[in-house]
Amino acid sequence: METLRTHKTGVVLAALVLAVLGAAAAGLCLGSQPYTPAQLWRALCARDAADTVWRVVAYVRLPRVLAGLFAGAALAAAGVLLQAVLNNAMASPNVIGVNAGAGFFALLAMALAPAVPGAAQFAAFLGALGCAMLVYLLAWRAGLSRTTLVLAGLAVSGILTAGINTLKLLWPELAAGSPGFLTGGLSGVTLRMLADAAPYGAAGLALALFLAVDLNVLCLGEESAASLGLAVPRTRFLGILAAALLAGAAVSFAGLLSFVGLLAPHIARRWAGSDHRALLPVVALLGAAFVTLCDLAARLLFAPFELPVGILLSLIGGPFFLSLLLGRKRGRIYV
Amino acid sequence: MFELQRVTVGYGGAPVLQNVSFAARPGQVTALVGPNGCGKTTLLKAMARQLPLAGGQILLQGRPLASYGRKELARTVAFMPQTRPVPGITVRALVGHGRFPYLGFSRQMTAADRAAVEQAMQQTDVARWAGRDVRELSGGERQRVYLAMALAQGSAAILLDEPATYLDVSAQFELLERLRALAAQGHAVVLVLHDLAQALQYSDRVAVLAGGGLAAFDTPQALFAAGVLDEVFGVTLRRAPEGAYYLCRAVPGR
Repeated sequence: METLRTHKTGVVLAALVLAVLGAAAAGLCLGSQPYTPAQLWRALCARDAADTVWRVVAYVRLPRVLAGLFAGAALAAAGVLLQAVLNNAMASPNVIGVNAGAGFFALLAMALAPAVPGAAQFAAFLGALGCAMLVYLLAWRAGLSRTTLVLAGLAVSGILTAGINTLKLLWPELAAGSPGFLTGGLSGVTLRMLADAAPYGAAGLALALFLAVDLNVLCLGEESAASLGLAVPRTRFLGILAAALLAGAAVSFAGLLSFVGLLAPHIARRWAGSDHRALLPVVALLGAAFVTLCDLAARLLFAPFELPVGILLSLIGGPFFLSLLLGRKRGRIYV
Repeated sequence: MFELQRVTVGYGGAPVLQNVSFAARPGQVTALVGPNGCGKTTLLKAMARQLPLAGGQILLQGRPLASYGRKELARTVAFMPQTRPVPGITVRALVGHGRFPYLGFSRQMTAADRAAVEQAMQQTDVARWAGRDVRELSGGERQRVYLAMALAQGSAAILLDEPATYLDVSAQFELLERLRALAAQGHAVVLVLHDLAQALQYSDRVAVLAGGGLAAFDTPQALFAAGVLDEVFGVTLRRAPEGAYYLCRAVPGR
């Protein structure tokens, strides 16, 4: 029943908020030098610049935890948006080349205008938007089946990844500054980078939540949605715009993190159903907790060596993507 | 309700239908029939304003269709396409989407919207499935739920593209009886039907589309008497003593 579903969504949301808080606390406490929650609490209260615990937490771990929360939430929400707008369960920012587009243009901006503040973030947003529109148009011209969309995204991704590698050869200092950009990683993220990306992420999330009911109607199919008075092309464009804002923001500091935008939406749909008013908050929290925990695992698994979190995400996400490819019945779209 | 005046429709290239003129009135079931590919669905989409006209015009309640605002049109005409993705939502949520053209900027349903949803579910006897997932329902049950959504839309005209296709025979008759009842309440029901006998049985007016235009538009009795359908479809149409229509294969050379 309706009330039951609302009740269930409330429980899921509460559990996810706890998971996010737990992941953040673990991310702040654990590392090469583990702290107890009590030590963390004391350092957070005192904020003493001479205190090593505070310095490690504030300058190393906090930016990283915030980056994980931000990137996870943004990419997961972008995945839900793209799946609804393109009516395709395989769509996600990394699969259809949106991440690669954002990454290429962010690096290009860093190479050409390293001194301009905010240039990389703006370029990442434009790249994500351009790429999403391009892939949509390509798939539309070739007939919008879910496979064509994925193939079009693959081709565009391939071209842009080649472009990223070329940029790294031409500007070796870029490669030194962001070694894990292509696989995606959160080491070396600063609060400044997060602050520059935050307006894009916030705008994207706000637009996504504003579109929630319209996306529900869009999921009834194009013809039904139009007959209910929905402006279908405008809704599609706004959905892509929101996804580009979110994905661009995440890629600008985290690099090409893969599969969060695919994995989190599918799990979130199982837990929260297909109503975007519940789905979007659930998926954002899920993505945030997931990336933060994965980053923690990537830091700890092979300590003292650190794995970029993107590698871990690919290891988990790749098989999941394959199971989606193989396991769908009759081309059905949603879980 | 609908007045088609020398309507020409197509998909960019050669027109599929030319110079089609007829009127679909409130209180009547109007069926569009014709051989495959004759443009039945194309014409229905044009009436739902989902396809631009290549010529002529369509008046809806005396006003050109093009002059309607998007939501205003949705409050006047409901359109049920033949196929659509089935979302994983509850029956009540699906019927609730019928209220979309009434929602304001915040997209919040009011008490009046909720009441309209409940009433539409009562009217189509789907209220007992309100909490079920639409995907779990059978084809006939699902079609009733979509009809409830169209009723929640509160529109005076309902356009349906082959609503009976893929349904069990008993569910087909049940649906058509529901549509008759809606017409009796004053709705203008326009539907594409594949089954000629059903079209004749359940409609007040039949538009026969063939050869790139309107071959005939009349009551079922008049069409039967004139033998138009025998000619267009290459069959022999008969009528049983109790009034039911049925079809036989055309006998060559007769």
